[in-house]
Amino acid sequence: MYKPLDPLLHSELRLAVMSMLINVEEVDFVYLKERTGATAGNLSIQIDKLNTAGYITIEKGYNGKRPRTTCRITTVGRKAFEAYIDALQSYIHPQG
Amino acid sequence: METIENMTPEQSLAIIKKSMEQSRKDAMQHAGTPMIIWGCLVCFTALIISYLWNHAGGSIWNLLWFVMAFVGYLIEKTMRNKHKPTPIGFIPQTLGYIWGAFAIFALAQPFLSAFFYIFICKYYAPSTVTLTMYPITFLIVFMLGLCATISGFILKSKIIIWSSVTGSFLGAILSIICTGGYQLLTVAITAVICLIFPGVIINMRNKE
Repeated sequence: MYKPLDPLLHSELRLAVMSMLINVEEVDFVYLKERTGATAGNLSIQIDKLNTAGYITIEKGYNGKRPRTTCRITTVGRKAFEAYIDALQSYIHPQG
Repeated sequence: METIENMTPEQSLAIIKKSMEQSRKDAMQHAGTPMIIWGCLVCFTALIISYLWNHAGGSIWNLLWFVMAFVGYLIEKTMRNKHKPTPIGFIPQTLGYIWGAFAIFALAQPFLSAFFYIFICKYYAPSTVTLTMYPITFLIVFMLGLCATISGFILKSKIIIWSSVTGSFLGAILSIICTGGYQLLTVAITAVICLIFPGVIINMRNKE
């Protein structure tokens, strides 16, 4: 049977962000923008959605005098990501 | 990248694979560089102190270690500000914690040495304690090897593990045999084996 896919993660940009966060401690907003090729506005909206769902935490601070925004994945986000992968498997290798 | 929501499972998996690999690679990109910088600093400082100890004024030149720590801190801070932002990976962060702990314990050695000499040897039990030389170099060389070996285990690199074990044992033995400023030469050798060499291997491995 097909398992339902988390609609929050089933989006190209949000999925890329979550995948980048999954095996590192924290990621800078500027890095995410460069690697995804998204605009700052769009990326900001998408990470805000992930933050609202409790999948990531956003921390605003400074690196010297420059403002810095960093994102970290939460335990809830990690579990949701694992469930999403599990659901994807049911589409790729359907059983019964 | 847009917020396309009608992706196939295969497309989703491809995005996950590409993004995970990218961030992991970027996080490890310069993971060995701090070890190379600190290794060069330790090696250079040890050689300078060794020369000055033997030729101009004795062990007082060991205070240069504190200058080295400050210079190293400034170099790291400058490099961090100049580099493009990269993800902070679990492995580089753990390595940072290990070597940070080493720095604290290594810089605490002179103070522990003073405590040992003043309170134990002079006041507490001067007749029973016969050891009057606190083996600072021996302990630092041994700790250096210990931290490098743990780093090797974390990185799953047999060459780092074995070179660190060999380097620290060799350095520790030489630090007992050698006296005065010549002890610092063992620190320089151990820094090359336990800091510069693993740093170069980490960077080379990540370039592959």
